[in-house]
Amino acid sequence: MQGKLSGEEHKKKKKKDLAISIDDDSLLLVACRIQASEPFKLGRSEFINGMKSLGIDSVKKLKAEISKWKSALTDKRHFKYFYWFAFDWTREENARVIQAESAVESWNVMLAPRCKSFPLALWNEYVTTVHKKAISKDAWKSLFDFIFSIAPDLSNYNEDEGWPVLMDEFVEWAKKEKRV
Amino acid sequence: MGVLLSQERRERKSRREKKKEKERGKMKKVPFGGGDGSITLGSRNLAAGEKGEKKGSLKLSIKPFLSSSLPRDFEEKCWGKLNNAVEAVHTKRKVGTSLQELYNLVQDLVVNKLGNNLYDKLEKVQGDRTAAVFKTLDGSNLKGREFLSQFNSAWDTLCCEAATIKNIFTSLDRSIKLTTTKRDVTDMSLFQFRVNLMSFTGLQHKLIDTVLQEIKAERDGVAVNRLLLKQLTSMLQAVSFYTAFEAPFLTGSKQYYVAESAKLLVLHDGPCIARYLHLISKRLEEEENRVLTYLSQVTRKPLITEVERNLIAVHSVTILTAGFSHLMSNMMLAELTLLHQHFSLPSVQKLDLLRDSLGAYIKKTGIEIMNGADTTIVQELLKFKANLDLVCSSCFSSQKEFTYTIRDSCEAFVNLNPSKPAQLLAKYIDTKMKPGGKETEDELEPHLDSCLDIFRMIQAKDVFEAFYNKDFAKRLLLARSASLDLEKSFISKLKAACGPSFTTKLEGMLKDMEVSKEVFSGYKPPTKSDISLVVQILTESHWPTYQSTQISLPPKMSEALEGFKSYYLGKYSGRKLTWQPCLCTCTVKATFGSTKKELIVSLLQALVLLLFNTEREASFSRIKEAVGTGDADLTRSVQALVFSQARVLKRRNKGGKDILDTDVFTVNEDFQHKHFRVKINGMQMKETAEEAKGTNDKVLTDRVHAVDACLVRTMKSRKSLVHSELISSVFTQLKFPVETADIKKRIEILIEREYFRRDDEQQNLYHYVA
Repeated sequence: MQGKLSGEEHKKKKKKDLAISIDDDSLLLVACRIQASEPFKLGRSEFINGMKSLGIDSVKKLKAEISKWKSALTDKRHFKYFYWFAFDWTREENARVIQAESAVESWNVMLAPRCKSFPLALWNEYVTTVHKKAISKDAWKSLFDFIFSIAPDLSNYNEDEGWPVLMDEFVEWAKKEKRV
Repeated sequence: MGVLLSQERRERKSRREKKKEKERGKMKKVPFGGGDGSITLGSRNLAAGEKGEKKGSLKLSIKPFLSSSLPRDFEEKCWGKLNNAVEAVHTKRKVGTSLQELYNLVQDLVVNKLGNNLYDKLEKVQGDRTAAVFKTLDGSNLKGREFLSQFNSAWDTLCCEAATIKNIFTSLDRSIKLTTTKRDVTDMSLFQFRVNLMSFTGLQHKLIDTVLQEIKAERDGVAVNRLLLKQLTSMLQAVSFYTAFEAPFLTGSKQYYVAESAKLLVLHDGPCIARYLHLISKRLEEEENRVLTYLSQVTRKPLITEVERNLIAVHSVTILTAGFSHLMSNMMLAELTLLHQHFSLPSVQKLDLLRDSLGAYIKKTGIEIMNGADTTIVQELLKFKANLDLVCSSCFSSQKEFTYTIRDSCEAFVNLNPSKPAQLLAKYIDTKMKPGGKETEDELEPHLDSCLDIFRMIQAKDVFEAFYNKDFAKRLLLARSASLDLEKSFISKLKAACGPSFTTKLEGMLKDMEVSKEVFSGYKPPTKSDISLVVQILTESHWPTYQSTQISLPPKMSEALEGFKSYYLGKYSGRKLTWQPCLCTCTVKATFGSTKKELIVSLLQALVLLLFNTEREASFSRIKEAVGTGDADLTRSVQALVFSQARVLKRRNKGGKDILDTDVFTVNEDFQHKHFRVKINGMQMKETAEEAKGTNDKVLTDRVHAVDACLVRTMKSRKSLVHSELISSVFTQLKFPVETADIKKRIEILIEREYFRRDDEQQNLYHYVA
């Protein structure tokens, strides 16, 4: 853990050192817990201070904490907060939106294992093939409530409840294409 | 003696008195005038012949002429005579005894308490007589009308006989009425008639069926004997048999009209329905007449109800679907009035169906009108609306519900296209306001009122405002209004319809024109200048936005303009003046060879022409350079100079309508025109399609801003609102049509821009971010 490294390099280093997988959201969790401020970056001082305040002083402990955090995610509130943080941390610098492809990647990592009833694949297909535009923060955040409240066949969707237009369009498309 | 007498007298008196009493007791008390006929006066019996018995009673008896008891065969004799008389009446022979005598006979019998016997005998004789008559009728072979005549005359005869007999037996009648509850003679006859009619069922049915056949024949157009029918129905009523006739009559009528309507409605097209409506009136009238002429008044209501139901109510849907459009499109007012009347009848009550048909027709026709050519839509619409109003007032008696239906249906189809009707209406009014129309001012006012009617139906009033204001500005600037009074009255009507905020700009423009004149009149230009300048000063906010193009003016022009500008700014410090070149018109004095002309052109065109003062020929790129601008307006201006009716410039090379940079132009030395002052499209009076689109786009942008402003305003005041409430609040505040989806999009954008945020827990709750 030397100095400020760019995301990728650092991830590699981390991987080597800590064998933290970057294919799941462990890295993200760490970033979240230490409240990393810039996307894809874990600043050195940030990291050190973060570890200090969390009381982690060894690799083993870090690993243990990570798995603790992972299990804490079963609590919806923690998960929601974590998910919201993910938007800020995985967007490109100075961007206010996330591109469709990266959004889909993040969703697959974060949401797929934890919400089985939602047709995430369908949603991802829609976002990448039909919508194609970047995802705004509002849409990202609303997706969380969306996936937990909607029925698997989208039958209980109510337009008048104030979902973002993206959800309206998704449901319309899914019904028209008879995918549900 | 005197003294003794008095005492004796007293004694004698008392003894006499006592004897009188005794005698009285002994005497038989007989009624006066009856019995043995003797009358006693006091106690004196004169007939006794006893002499000297001065103190006895005095009797006086009177004997009657006749014997005191009736002869035994009195009753029989009387009845014999009466019976003969009755028989004579029945057989129409002359009665032997006089009627007076007969009357007295009856009276005698009644007086002698033989009334009841008499009654019974009479009853039997009458009964037999009636039965005999009925038997004859029953055996009759006659049919149809002849049968009815026969029956009627039988009834007549019986009635006459009964009348005569009644006269004879009047006393019996009286006593019967007073003492018993038996029917009087007349009633008895009627009762017997009725009894016979009921027992001879074959005859009864024959009678009723024949009558019904006659009625059916009359409905089919055959002439019948109405008097006969009247007499028969009166007969039936008299004998309380009418209801037995009425029931099959009503059934028969119903069947008749069911059949007739089925036959006539087989065609299912417009003219067929029109004829059918007339037929209904005819039939209703006929039946009313029928009731008046030869039926009982009680039949009226059920009969008319049957007719109404079976001719109209049952077929109301068919009538409307097959015929309504035809009637409306051909403006068949008479038939429509009938239709309304018929559907308003108490047993029909199908006005709501009529209204629905009207609504559907209006929508369908309206949509066709709106799909027509742009140039004719407004006129067709005005005509259509005028027709609808006419139909409503003359055929539907201007009933409220019909007015509402018309209004709602018109609004429905007019607003299918969100902006076209508003745009076209504004254009139409523009043409009417300009001079050159065929109508006089007086004719125009009501015409504009009907235009306003259409305006009220349009939801996208802001589109109308944008186009109307633009055209109004042009009319004012180029003094192209036919009548300023007309313009002002129309503006006040718009104000009344939409509120003052709608017309502030229009009124501002009018005011500007007046003020500008005043201000300019105070300006004294320097006399040296050979350019005469007229300036109009406009308040920017009132007028539509115009493109401000940069052009390079020749020095003389810019001097003149600067002169005015300094004057004005001297007068009104703190104001900013911006010249609008695209609105300017110039009058250019030109010499073509030997002809002098004055050309009225736009500023751009003037600049182009001025160029040819110094250069013989110029290419388009040169022109562009000289004038200082290259936009489409310049192209259009040059096109007007080259291709319009008045060809001031000539193009040297061949080419199409487009102007290319390489095109070279010269002045047309052979320019001819019958007028000295030649007008060349000063400012484009006709709006190009681009301009129209521009206006429409501006309206849409303005709407977006209005939605945003409304959202922010609402959230600011309410701080937190649920999604559905926010949407409905915005809908009530906005004056133009807008979709929920559009509002949603704006909400998202405002969230993005951090005007609001979503609640962390509740998905559909928004909070205002201060």
